[in-house]
Amino acid sequence: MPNLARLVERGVMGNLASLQPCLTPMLWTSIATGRTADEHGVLGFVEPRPDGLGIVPAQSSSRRVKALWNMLGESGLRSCVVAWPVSDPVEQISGVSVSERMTENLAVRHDEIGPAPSGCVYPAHLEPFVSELRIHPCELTPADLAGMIPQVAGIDLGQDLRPAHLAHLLARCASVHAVATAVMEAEPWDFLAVYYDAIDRAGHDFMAYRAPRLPHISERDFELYRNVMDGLYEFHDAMLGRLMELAGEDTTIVLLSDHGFQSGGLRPAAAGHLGTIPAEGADWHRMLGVLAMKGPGIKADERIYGASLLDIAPTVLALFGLPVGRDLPGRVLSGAFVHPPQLRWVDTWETGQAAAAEPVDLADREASIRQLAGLGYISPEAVEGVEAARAAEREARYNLATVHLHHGRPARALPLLESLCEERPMERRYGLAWLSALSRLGRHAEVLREVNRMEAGGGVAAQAHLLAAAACLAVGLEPEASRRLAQAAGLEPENPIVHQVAGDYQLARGRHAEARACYERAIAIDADNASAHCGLAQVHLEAGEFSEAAESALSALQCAFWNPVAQFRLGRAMEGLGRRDEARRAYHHAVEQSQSYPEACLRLSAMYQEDGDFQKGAAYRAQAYRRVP
Amino acid sequence: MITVVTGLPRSGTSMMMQMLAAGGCPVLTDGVRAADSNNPQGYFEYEPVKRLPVDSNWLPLAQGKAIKVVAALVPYLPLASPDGAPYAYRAIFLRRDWQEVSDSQMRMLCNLGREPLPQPSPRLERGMEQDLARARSWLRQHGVPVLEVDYRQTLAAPAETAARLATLFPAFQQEAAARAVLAGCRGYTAG
Repeated sequence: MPNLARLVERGVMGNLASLQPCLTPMLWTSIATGRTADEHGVLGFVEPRPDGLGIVPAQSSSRRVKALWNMLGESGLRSCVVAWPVSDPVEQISGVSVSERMTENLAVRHDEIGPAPSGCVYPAHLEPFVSELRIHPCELTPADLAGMIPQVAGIDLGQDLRPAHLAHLLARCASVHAVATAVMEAEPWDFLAVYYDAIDRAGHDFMAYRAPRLPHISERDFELYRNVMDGLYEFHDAMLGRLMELAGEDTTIVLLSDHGFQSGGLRPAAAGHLGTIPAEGADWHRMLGVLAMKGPGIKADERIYGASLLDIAPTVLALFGLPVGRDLPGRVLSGAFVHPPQLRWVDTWETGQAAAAEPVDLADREASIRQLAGLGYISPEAVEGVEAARAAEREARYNLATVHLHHGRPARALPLLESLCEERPMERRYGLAWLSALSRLGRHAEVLREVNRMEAGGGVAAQAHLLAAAACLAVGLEPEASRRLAQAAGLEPENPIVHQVAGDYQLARGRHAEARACYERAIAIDADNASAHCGLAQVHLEAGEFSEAAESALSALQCAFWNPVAQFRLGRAMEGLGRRDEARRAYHHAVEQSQSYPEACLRLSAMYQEDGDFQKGAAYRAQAYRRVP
Repeated sequence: MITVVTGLPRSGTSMMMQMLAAGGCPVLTDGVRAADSNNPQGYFEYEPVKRLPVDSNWLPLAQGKAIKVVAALVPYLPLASPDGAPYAYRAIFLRRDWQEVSDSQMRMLCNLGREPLPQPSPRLERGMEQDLARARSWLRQHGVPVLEVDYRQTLAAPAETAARLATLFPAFQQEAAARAVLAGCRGYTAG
């Protein structure tokens, strides 16, 4: 991929931490707004229709906050936005907006070729222009797929639908690219945002065929489809080259993915259905995507660390010299700049938002619709529609609870999960999430009671055993905790979390050899497990292995930069290696990233005292003993 | 002009359709649902109405006629025909005490061999109230003239209701319409 190589060599690159839940509409809205889903309001792939009688794709009107193109527009800048997730209904922005619906109704037969769906382009007079640029699956031939499926000529296309499915994905992708490049050439713009979905979609259908062959994949399928994903990446590299050529050297290019994709040993064992993204599709996602940036003022051939999806919007605002909202949880990636930008701030970009319409109470709506259907006044389709709407609303509630859990707000997650468990007591993931919320709130007795009840009812998942183990430890039931950990390992021996939690347990008990084995096992299964790397760093520190400790701590930070414990352990390792400046920097990060890190403050105090800076030394000592509200 | 007879199920919409038919007003009905113990004089329904949220192409057939559309489906009435010609509506809105409606619906469900919701059902009551509110809001928003008719008052004084209907329909046969109520009275009060 020469174009990607060029971008990386002449710019910066690094991991990009994703968010939970790892769902495309939520993540790309977080990227565009700089906010988590509880604030931006997009909570899944679909949402209930306003009348509650069915579902629709998540609507742009459901977004409650401004996206980058809104903020830039208010500042007199023009944006072109192409095929962004959750971009329909198309917004009337300062510039051009082509919604994701532009790739609907692509023709599989030549007599079906027609215009793009009405209303998917702003301004509307560009609709014919966009329609002409679209590439239809029927316009691709088997020869066009030969680069990705070398043996396509030997496939019975009437029986095997996979080549046709790939052709459809390629036609969508090529259509987006054609529109994006045409708009770049024809329209004035300051900011271009274009989303290509083919790698993610094709990954769910074809990554299973990539080498090494998975046990459930036949030899024949492996031979036929093993090259699809690599070929697709090369195709994207060619498109990247064209975008870079059109953008020119004076343009800052930001290439990113909202999440990674399992391509090796952590690929799920079972296949999904072609062309679908089942609820378990998120199992294919890695929590680390990629970020690469190149442009004027950006460092060259360097890595950046600790970036997350929430940092993109603040960084783009800073690139334009615009103020960053203090209410945005992310940060400007100043480390990417040769000279860190002079940042400007504003309390918030959110002003004068219209109040949202009162949503239909779906439970009441369902009662009415079922009654009407029972009385014979409405068709059964309406019942199916309201059931689908309620399912979508439950999914939104679950996703919202997941956001709260993963951002340190278990108290806000709990009532959502309690209502879900009440409505759907047999839905295992609701129950596990509820237990997780209870655990984080320190309600250990309830966790134990509930896990025991679930066990009496017939079997619990490994995650429940892990939560019970944590609860047992918290209330001093160590033998029971050990038993629970063993049960979790027995149920899911290939689950890296099980081994990482076991390592934490052993480390807390001072059993370093056992902890090391557990952490190494977790890392062997999942090299992205930041907690396992962090734990292993401590094991190395205990053994005086400072070089290895630094390596493990850095591995943890590459996975998750916002990790005060890993920062502190890196500091300890650097001190052990005599690298005081690096140690001091790591301790500073530990203090910045946590409300209070007394041990890091005490180390900083000692270091400043040793260097003769008694004032700073005293200040950090005082901070170490200051009570945090 | 399309006359929409609306309200909650078991609020007297069938009674009103019978009045209109007896009074000489053309009604759109297909007889798919035959008269039974719940409605001894008949339902006067048109089966495609049930699929109004997904299909309204049949609505030109209702021009110049009265058609029964339960309140929940009123917001799905199209504003124009497939060829773009706007529809003109007027509505006759039946009102009946919720407890009576609820009891009648429950009896009907039992007669149909279907499981009714446990009573009382606050969710059902709220859901039905919201259906009424959305229907009234839609009618108001689109400037549809509405004639409000109370079920109990019509039973007590059918001639008065028939006289009000006569203001809508030329050559309306008021006496025949009032007699239709009296003929079906036993069925309505029991249901």
